[in-house]
Amino acid sequence: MSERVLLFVDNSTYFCFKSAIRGYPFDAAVVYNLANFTECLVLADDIVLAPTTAWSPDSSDPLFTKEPICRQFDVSRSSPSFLSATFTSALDACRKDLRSPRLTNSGAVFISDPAARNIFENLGTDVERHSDVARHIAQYLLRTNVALELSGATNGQPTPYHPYSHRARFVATKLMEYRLTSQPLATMILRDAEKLITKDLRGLDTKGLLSRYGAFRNVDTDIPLVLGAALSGSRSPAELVETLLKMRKWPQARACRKWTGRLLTAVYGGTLRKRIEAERELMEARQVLGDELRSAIGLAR
Amino acid sequence: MSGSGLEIATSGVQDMANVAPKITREIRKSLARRRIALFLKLAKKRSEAERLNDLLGRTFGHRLNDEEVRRLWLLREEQRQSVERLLAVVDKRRR
Repeated sequence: MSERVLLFVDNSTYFCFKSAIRGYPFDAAVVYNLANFTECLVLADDIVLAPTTAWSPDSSDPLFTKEPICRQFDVSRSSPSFLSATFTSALDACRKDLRSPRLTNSGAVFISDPAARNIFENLGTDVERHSDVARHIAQYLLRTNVALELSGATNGQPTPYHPYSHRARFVATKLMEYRLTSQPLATMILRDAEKLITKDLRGLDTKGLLSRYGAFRNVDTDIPLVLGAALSGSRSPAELVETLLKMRKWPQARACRKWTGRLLTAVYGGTLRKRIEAERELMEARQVLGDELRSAIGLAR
Repeated sequence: MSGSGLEIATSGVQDMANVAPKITREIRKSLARRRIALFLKLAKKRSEAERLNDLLGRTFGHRLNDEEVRRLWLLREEQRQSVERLLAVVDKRRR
């Protein structure tokens, strides 16, 4: 089993990243996906994109060509029996999802997708804007469930799946029922750190004079860690890519990926002893991170 | 070994036994610190950073309006909560 950290992402997440880099106007969903993709670039060794016939990587994109980090899931290298099993399971899951209330909770995602509109408009997709609702729902369900099936099979080990903004809630509710592959361990620790910083900064904010008079907007304190660090080192969209590639090569990033890869291997394929040790390492890391951040922010434990 | 020698040795072993868990804890802590060095570095850079919208504006030339900032915050909060719920479910099943 490989100790490299693989992440499975939707093509749309990558499109949002490209859309922002090309300077198209963005909204909250684009920034959310940009933050997720930039995290993947720093935290993962390899990023696997969902298979599609509608699009293939641009040969000038360094993420796919020069020391490639991203690759599309290559269906042609999979056996017919594997594909048959994957699609059978995905279709079965689609049928179940149709009867589930969680589908209706996913709202308007089927028809409009403003986050990636700039890219989609120039792309031949299987579902056109004027297609009826049923076709949008069918495509949405099939793509989501195939992604979930493939995330369980890449490289022979479960690969954490980072759903696109419009799929995140739906996928999370599905995963709650049967899997732990929605987030890699490193992302989980990252969320811990952000939560702690945000919570503590909010605590500090509320004590401030400005906050007491309602002048402090604390929603702005929630800066995604990787995106915030990358943006603070970049003056233009082109520089952002360079900064991210540099961050990826930081010794700390390499060490973190190596550790995460080892943990994932232990959690999913190791002996019971290795699994227990991995859980312990993870708990220690979260605790030490909490202590260090509290001390950095100047708060007592 | 003389009586006093034995006592000294016993006390030495006892001291070591008392100190060993502390050393082990320190080693583990230092290892953990090395493993999370990336997050500490990111957090430091993040705390030096200006607000997200200022950073977006500086790099991309446009910013999110107040409504979009709120939406982004909700999306991320939802993602964070879903991870927590997911972990809680898994922990419960493991127990």
